[in-house]
Amino acid sequence: MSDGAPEGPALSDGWVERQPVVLLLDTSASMARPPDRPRIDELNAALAEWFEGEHTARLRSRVEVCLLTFDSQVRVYDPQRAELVPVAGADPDALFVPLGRLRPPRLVAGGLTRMTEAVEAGLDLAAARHRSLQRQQVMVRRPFLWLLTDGAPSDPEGRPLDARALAPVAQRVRRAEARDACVFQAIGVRGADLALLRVLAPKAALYLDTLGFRSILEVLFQSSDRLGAASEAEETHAHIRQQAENRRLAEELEKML
Amino acid sequence: MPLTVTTDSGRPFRLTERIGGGAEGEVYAVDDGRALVAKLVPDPPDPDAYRRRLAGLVRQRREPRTVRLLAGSPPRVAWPLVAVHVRHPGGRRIDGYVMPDMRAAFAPFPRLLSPAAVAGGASAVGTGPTWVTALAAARSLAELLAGLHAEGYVVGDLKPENLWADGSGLVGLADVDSWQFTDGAEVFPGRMRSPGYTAPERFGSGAAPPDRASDAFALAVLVHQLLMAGLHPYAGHPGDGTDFRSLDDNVQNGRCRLTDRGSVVLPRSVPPADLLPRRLTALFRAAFGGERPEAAVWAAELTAAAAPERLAVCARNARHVHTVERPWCPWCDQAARGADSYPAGGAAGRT
Repeated sequence: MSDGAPEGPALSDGWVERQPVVLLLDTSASMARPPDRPRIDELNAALAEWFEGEHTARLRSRVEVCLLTFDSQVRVYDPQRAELVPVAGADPDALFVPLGRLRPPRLVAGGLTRMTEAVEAGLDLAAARHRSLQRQQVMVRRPFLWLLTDGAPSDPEGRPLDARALAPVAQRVRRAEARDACVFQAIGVRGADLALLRVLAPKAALYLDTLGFRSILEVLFQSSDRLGAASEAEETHAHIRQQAENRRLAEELEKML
Repeated sequence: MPLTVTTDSGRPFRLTERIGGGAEGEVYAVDDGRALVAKLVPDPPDPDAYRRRLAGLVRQRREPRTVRLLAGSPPRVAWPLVAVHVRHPGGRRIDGYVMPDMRAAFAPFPRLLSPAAVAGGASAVGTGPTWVTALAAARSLAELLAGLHAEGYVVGDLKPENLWADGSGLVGLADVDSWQFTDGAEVFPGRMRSPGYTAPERFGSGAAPPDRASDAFALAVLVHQLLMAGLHPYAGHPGDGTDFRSLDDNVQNGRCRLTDRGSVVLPRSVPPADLLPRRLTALFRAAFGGERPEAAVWAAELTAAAAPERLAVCARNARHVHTVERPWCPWCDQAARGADSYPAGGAAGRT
């Protein structure tokens, strides 16, 4: 939703706070379901609509986004090449794009759900970017990591991971949040294993079955801007839960519009 | 079936499209001959208290103090006209209110905080704002706040997203349902606070409720942003080499260029601190590090600073308006360091 200003103070000017966001998107085979209305199509449409739509000057001037996808591989969107590239070897500083300038690629569903590797890679990228901007004396806030999935994490052979196998990465997330290094939020949609997402993010796993991807993106990005970085990660999670509930109720009303 | 909300007496308003969303509510256009919008709050923390709050505000509209506040044209406050509700398909009652559509007379305020980007022509801000517009908006906001403080209201969540401004710098306010007020029988507390606009005493658990002094802090931040082309008074990377956490963290630790020059590191392209008239610099220093000036004091000093004889226009760029206290043009100084907040012709001018 735009507030009419053509451009805010440019992100690169360094006058305003910078908010890095890593969006971790599930592109495994289950996203190709149901066959008549594949979720991946809805996700692609939502990404295009959200990123190519209008945003408030405040969001535009603050938020930079890195897109990461996970299926059998973990890949990141390289804005220079305009394609997904393997996460290993990618330069974190080159992967974050100002919100208003990101043109998301068309995602294809297929393969396994290497979620734990994706979370590890996301944490690494976020930490590297945060450190780099701090070194450049940019007013950067702790990064947000938002994970969207419709499934459950699997190992390299496609076997489902259990809570024990998730524990190490879950602990890494918890430690990072505890020292204010990031805020991690997991969003499950139809078919997602909420119990396992709760292992990964005990207070930050949300099952948003009735909210479309477009509304989920809006809730996440809007909430990124409504809380001070002084707030505990927990407060952020509660806020997102509340915003999602508001949007769900409003969206159901809006069907009557 | 269209989405129709009704008043308690059964009067319907048909909503047409969603035009915005805030932290707690959604705003919709209303199908009506008058310029009206409706705000619905789907899930307030305490629905009964929210209903009483709305009823209180609607009643207050007829009280002399509110009538004084709403006098003048265009009305500068989007006061709730009538409470409405709708039944959610799930059965729950959702409350809200109908108010004047500020878009009829105003443009969103945040655009005044990026003057370089606001070109002329199609813009509602005319040929593009100058520092004169910034001073006018700062004064208008201070007068508005002084007026509502005098009538016993506290805004509580004063921030650019709740504000509106027209091309001449006249400022309006929305989101009245988050204000703090009393109707004599009940005190309706303000709960909302926003990053970057929260006074230091309002942080932490057991934080103070908003009051005129916390409003005065947010006012000083907004006035600084207006006069400094959007720059927040607490902007900057900590000067002691520690990591930046947030503007709020800078506020809590007193990292502010005007009160402690070495406390922050800022990019060279920010507007120079010496563009402020001396008396306003003194007010800012008091607001961020001493006895906070009330809104009425800001209004008086900004009125004085905006007097035509106190302003000079740069010989090289007519959009470069500055105080007569400086024999040089501070905006040209800024342009020489890589960014012109008021480029000639109104085109975006980052160099």
